[in-house]
Amino acid sequence: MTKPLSPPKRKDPLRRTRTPLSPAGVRSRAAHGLTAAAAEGRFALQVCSECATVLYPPRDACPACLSPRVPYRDVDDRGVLLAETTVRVSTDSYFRERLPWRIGTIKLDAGPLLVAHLHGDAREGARVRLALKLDKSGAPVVFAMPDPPTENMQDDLQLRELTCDPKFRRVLITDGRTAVGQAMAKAFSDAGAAIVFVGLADPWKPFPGMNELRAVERVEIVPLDVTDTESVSEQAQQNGGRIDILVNTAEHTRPGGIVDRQGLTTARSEIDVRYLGLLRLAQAFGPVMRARGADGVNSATGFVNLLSVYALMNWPPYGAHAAAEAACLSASQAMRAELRPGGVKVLNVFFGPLETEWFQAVPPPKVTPQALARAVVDALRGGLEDVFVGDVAQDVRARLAVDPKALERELAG
Amino acid sequence: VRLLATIERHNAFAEDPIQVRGGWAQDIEEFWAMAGLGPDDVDLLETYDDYPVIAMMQFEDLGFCRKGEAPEFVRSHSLTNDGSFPHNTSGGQLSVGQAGAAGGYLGLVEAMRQLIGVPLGSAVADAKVAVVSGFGMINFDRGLASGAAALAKAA
Repeated sequence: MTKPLSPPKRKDPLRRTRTPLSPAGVRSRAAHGLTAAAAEGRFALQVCSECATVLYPPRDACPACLSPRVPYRDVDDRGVLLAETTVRVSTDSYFRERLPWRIGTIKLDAGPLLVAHLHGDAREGARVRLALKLDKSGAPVVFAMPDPPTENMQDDLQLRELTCDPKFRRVLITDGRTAVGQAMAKAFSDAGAAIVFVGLADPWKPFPGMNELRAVERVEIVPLDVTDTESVSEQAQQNGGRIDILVNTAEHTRPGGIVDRQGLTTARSEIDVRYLGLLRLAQAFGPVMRARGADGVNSATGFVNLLSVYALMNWPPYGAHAAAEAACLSASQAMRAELRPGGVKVLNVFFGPLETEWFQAVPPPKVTPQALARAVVDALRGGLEDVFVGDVAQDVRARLAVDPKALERELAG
Repeated sequence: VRLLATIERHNAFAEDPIQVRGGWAQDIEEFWAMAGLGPDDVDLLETYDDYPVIAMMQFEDLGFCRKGEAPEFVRSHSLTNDGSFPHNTSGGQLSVGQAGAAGGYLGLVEAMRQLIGVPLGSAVADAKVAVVSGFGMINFDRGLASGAAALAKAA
C-alpha cells in the first residue's frame, strides 16, 4: 500500500534550489502517436490495419505482416506484470537523483509486451492497468498501475513525477471575480492544495460570491490585475517562488463577430485581458516556475490555460473572442517548449459555452464552472496536456480531426 | 586454429514472454554434433558478457549445464583462467567495456590467442578446444541474434 504523502516542511531559505533535470526524451516520429494519446490521457497503441496485431514499441511497419498501415487506436489497457526489477544504480543524471526506480515487463491482454515504469503497488504476477504519461521532458512513457486501485495510490512518488497533482501544492487562481475563478478556488481547496492564492483586481469592489470565496478553506486573496504589468510583476515578486500551479481564470467574453462590431474597443480589451494577460503572467511567473521544477513534493508543476474550444476553429457568433483565444492557444504552444526544461507542464483546457452570464443567449449543452474546475483538477492529477471538457468541446475536437474545412462551414451556421 | 562448428540464429523463441533463452538452445545439438565433441571437452569458454546474467544464459543454452542450473553451476566452479571452468579469460567486456560492434570479436581474438599460445594475460594451461559465443541486436526487450563457434588448436 502507498504511504500517504506528508505535507512538505517549510523550505529552508538558505538551501539551494535543485536544478530541474530531464530524463532522455528523444523519440521517433512514429512514437509521437504515444505523445498525442498521453497528452489527452488516452491509452493508444499502433494497431495493424491488415492483421490487427497491436504493436509496441512504435514501428513504421507491422512486425507480423509488414504492412505499413499501422495507425494509433485506443486499446484495452489491462495486463499482467510478468517481471519487475529495481534499478539501484544509474549513470543518467535525472534517474540518479530518484533511485531506487522500479520498472517491469507487462504482457498486455491485447497482445504486446511493454517495459514500463511501475507504481509501488504493482506486484509481479498481478494485474495492472497501463497508462501513457508525459515525463518531465515531455516524452511519453508507459506507467503500470495496480488493478484494482489501492489506497493513496495517487501519492506514489514515481507516479507523482509524471503528474501535476495539486495535493500539498500552492495554487494561484488569477481572477476570483468570475464564477469560474470561484469554482476553481473551491475545487483546488478540496483537492488538498496547501494554499489557494486567488487574485483580485480592485479587491475593495464587492462582487457576487465574494463572501463564499473568502470562506473557502486555505484561500488567500491577493491583489492581481492581469491587465496591469506592474500588478502582475508585484504579485510574482511577492509570491512567485511559492506558486506551484498557476490557473489563469481571467476571462473576457463578449458576443459578436468581426465585420459588424463597431470599432476596436472591445477587441482591445479582449486582447489585453486574454492574450497580453497571458503574456504578462508567463513572463512574470514562468521563469521562477521553470527554475522550481524539481523543488521537492511541492515543486512547480503546471501552468493552466482555460481556452474556448473555438480557439481551434472560429465560431462567428463569438468571432472576435475566438480570435483572441486562438492567440492564447498559439502562445501556449511556445510556452510549453519554454517551460519544458523545468519539467513544468502547460495544460490547455478547452471548453464550449459556459453556464455563465456572457453565454446567456446560447442554448445548452453548456459547461458549469464547477464541472470545468473538476476537469482541471482531474487533468492535473493525470498529468495531461490537453483536455476537452463537455459535449461541445469534444464534438468540435472530433469534427476538427476528421475534416477542418467542413467544421469551418458548419460553425458558420 | 581449426574451425570445428558454427551456429547462428535470428529471432528464435519470439513467443517467449520474457527472454530466458537464446537461439543457441535451438541449435545446440547440431552444434556439438558438427564439432564432434561435447561440453566436457571444452578447455575455455568466451561468452558475450554484456551482463553476467547473459553469460549465464549462455552456459545453459550451450549445454554446459541444464536450464535453470546456471546459478548452481557458477557456485560449484571456479571461472578463473586456472580454475575448473576458464571463462572470458581476457576479463571480457565486463572488464574492458562494451566496444559496440567490435565487442563480438573480443572473445574470438582471446580464444585464438589462447589456442595458439600467445595470450596477453595468463594462459589457460594446455588449451586445445575453445567455444566462443555471441549475442546481440537488442530489440526493445530481448536480443534477437545468437551465434557460437567451436575452435580447436591445430594439430
